[in-house]
Formats: sequence, C-alpha cells, structure tokens
Amino acid sequence: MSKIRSAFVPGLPQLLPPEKSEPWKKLNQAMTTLGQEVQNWGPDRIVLYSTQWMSVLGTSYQAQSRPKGVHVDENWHEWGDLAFDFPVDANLSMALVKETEALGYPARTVDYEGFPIDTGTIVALKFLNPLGKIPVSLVSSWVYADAKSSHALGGAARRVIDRSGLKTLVVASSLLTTRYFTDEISPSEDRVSSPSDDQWNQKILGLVETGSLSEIAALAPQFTIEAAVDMQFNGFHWLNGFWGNTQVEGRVVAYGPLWGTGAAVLEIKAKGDTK
Amino acid sequence: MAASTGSGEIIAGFLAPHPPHLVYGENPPQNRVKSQGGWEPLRWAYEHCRESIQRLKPDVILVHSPHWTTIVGHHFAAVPELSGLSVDPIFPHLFQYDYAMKVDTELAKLCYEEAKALKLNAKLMTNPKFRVDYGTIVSLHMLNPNWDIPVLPISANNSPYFFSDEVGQDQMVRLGEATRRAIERRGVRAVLAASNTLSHLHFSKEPNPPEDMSQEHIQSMAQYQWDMKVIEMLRQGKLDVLKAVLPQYMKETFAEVKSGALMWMLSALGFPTTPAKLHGYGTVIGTGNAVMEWNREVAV
Repeated sequence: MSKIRSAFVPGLPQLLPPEKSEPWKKLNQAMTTLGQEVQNWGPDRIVLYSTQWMSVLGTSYQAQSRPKGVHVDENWHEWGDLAFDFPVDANLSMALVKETEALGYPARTVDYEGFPIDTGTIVALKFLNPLGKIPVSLVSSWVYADAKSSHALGGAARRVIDRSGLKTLVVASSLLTTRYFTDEISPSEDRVSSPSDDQWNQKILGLVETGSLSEIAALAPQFTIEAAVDMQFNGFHWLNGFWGNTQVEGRVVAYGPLWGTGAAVLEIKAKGDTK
Repeated sequence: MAASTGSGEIIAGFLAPHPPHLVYGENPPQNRVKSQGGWEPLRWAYEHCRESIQRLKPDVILVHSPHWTTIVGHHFAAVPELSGLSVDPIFPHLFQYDYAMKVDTELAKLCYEEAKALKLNAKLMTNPKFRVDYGTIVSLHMLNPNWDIPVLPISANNSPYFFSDEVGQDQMVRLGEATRRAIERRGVRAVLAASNTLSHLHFSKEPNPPEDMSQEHIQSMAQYQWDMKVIEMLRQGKLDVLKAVLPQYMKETFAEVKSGALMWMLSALGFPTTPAKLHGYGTVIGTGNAVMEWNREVAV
C-alpha cells in the first residue's frame, strides 16, 4: 500500500453553502467525495500548503499544537463563521523547517495563540479532515518563492515525509486561476470569468489526467503570463516538487467556477496506486 | 458622539504607516510581546500626531488599511464594538495585540450610502466575530493609544491589482469623495488615517533581535530617492505632480500607496495644495515610512 497521496483543491468559502449555485454544488460534492476517500484511506498526517497563507520571512510552518477558533473571511464575512479545531504535528513542522533551511531557504515555525488560520486551509480541512482527528502540518506560501524554489520546497517535504514513515496526504489548497468577479453576482450564474483562463485551465486539466506533471511545469511560465494564475502557480510547483521523479496518475474530480475563478478538485497519486 | 447635523468636517488627515514593529518597539500593555525598543524616530514622529489629535478632539478617526483586503467592493465596519486578539500573520512574533474599539456605525452606513451613490461597489461588515487586521490596529494605536475616540475601519478594495493603477486610483478618489460627503451628513469632526508605507521592498531576513537598529536601513538607494521625491511633493502640496508620477513610483518601489489609502485621504481632503507637515521618516526592515499631517485648522 502506498504511503503518500496528494490533492490539489480550492479553498474558498463558496464551497460551503452549495445550495446557492449548481456549479458550487458540483465542486462541493467533489470535495465531499474526495474527503470520504481520504477517510477510507486513513492517513496518519495531512501536510497542507495554502496560497492564502502568505509569508514574507521565508516559508512558515504551523507548530501550534491545536489551533482552535472561529475565522471570519475578510471579504465574504456575511456568510458566517468558519470554526476550526484540529491537531498539529509540531515535530513534523520542525523537521520541515530544518529540511527547508538545509536547502538554503529561510523558514520558521509559528506557534502563537490567536494566529490567523487562513480561509484556504480551513475550507480544505473541513472536507479532508472533517472530524479534525488527523494531525496536520500547515505550510505557508512564501511570496518571494518562484517555480524553482517552490519545487525545491516540495521536494524537501517529500524527504521529511519519507523519513517519517507516516502515511501522509499532501494537499495544495490553491485555485487554478483567480480572475474573480469584482461585482456582486448571482451565484447560480457563476462561470469562469475569462474564456482564455478557462481554456488554459482545461489544457492543464487534460495534462493532469495523463499524469504529465513535467509537461504542466514546462507550460507554467506561459500559463502564468497569459492567465491570472493563483500565486504564480506555486501550489502546483510545490506539489510537483513533492512528487519529483515519481511517475504519477491524476484524476480530475471536478472543475468549475467559484466567483469567476477557476477551481479544480484533483487527486494525484503514484501510478498504479489502487489501494 | 455628535448628533447628525449635516455640518460635519474633516479636520485633519495623517499618513500613518503601520509596521507592527512600531507597536512592538513601544511596548504598550495591549501587545503581548515585549522588546528592547527600536524605531524611535518613527515612534517619536507619531507623538506629534498624538498631540494634534488630543488638541483637535475629533469625534471619529477613519482608517483605510491595505491589510483588510476585499475583492468585491469597499467595505465599512459596522459593528458597534470590535474586540479580540489580532496576531500579525507576517510578523506574529512581534504583534499579538488585544484590541477593543468602538465603531461609528452610523457613519459607516452613511459612507456605504454615499459610495453607492457614486457608483462604487460597497458593503457593510456586520459580523461581530470579524478579526480586525494589524494595519488598522497599528495606525490607530500609534495615533491614539488611549482608544477613547470612535473609529471607522475601511477596507482596501483590490481594484488596482485586478484592473490597473488608473482604475484603482479612480476608485479611491471616488471613495474619498463619498467619505467626505458622509462625514458632512453625519455632522462629526473627523480625522482620516491613510495606513500606508511608502516604498515597500523589504528584506526577507530580520536581525536577532528584530530591534537591532544597527541592521536597519533602506532597502535601496533608488527606493530612498523616490521616497524623498514623493515626500517633497507632499510637503509642497504639488499633488498634480504626485498624481502624474504615482504609477511609476508604485511600479519601481512596490509602494504600498498602490492599495489606495493615500489617494482616498487626499481626495477626501479635497486634494489640498497646502503643505503637509512631515513629522518623521524612517525605515522598517528596509521599507520607507513617513508620518505626515494635513491639519486643516493650521492651513486655514
């Protein structure tokens, strides 16, 4: 049985009130399905990188033993409170810091009461760790990282997880494209706001289904210039670095709009991993 | 709180940068983290602002912060009292602040109405569990550490980043007009705080301890020269020149004024050609920060 699997998922609050929109319902159902599969697979740990947790002084890794509280989204605050409560594997986070620093990149743990857990992390974990029982390690999105360093940081995560021997789900909470509608919209009429972004996203999804992460990486520079890509596609680069030379297969569980953005629920695992 | 008389006015505006280092260096009881000081010239500059505010006795302080970022519209806090613990996600080791503020919700509603009237997307934030961002808190603390004056936090709409600098700045000009009209309708004497750093390229490593001032300096000479040009324009009231160079300034120095607070405030003040007073300039982890005041009573 394989000890690692991964997912690339959106983390916007629109996923939580799915009754407002058919496209959102489709994505919600895909996240629910993926979450159930994760529970059945039974990982020991979840390592989650979120593009909505931005850091400046290098990469931050969450080390507070049990973040608990209520988060209100800064834009969609009227949609209610996002409660969170989950255990963190601080030792894993500290090991990730050491491995990151060994590559010459700055890194630190954060362990502070009241630290603001981001919407992307909370929404993803509501589906992938709904009971809050699986210890997690959270990874920030370093704003000065590029494709190369993000790839290297993903590789560092892989080495730490391999050494730990823990059965681990690795998650990038990220959108594909982020061209939001900047006006109020009717949720039922939501669509990917830019046809060009939509075409690009479809191209990327086609390559995910053939497991061609290296081809996606090769296209990424053009993708990030021609489309409004979430955090320069660093969530993908981090995940791609995690898999490294491992041959993978991908599954597009769902793709659709979230307030004009392009959101995909993807599973990526080692080729032939059927258990 | 003043009654709604329809004769309100803006009595002063401040460029009030919000590096959490300033609160950390001051060691107020609200911040759970303690320091050995640091960044004194900027903190002393803020003392002049505090004196002005104590003398002016405003009814309300409005603050526009780039760290309350909104995608859909301009948001106004409309909860009577907001309190909690605000931890800076970027510098959590420096800023863990227990805040409590009273909000002028009537003014928030009027700002919302006037923004709508000027064809801006606008929204009232009415969730009492909303966590106030560190930019709002730092600027307000540095201006009025007693927290005895009602406030009105305003979000930074992301339009400059989604569309263009021109679209973004135009939105802020209209937001400033809407704010001025709302203050007039509310009948209050208001102070505005533009919570913006100037040049914003900074170091990604910090010294140990962070308040080791032997390591503090501007990130680049070009950044310093740009900041001085912009400050001089503000000191001379040459706002037309400033508007013309702003896009280049924002591009070359990653200036935080791109998020709109400065343009919002200048617009609300009616783009004053009277000189702004520079209380101080200093760097924080390489960024350029100016504390400046537009005092309309002095100008008159």
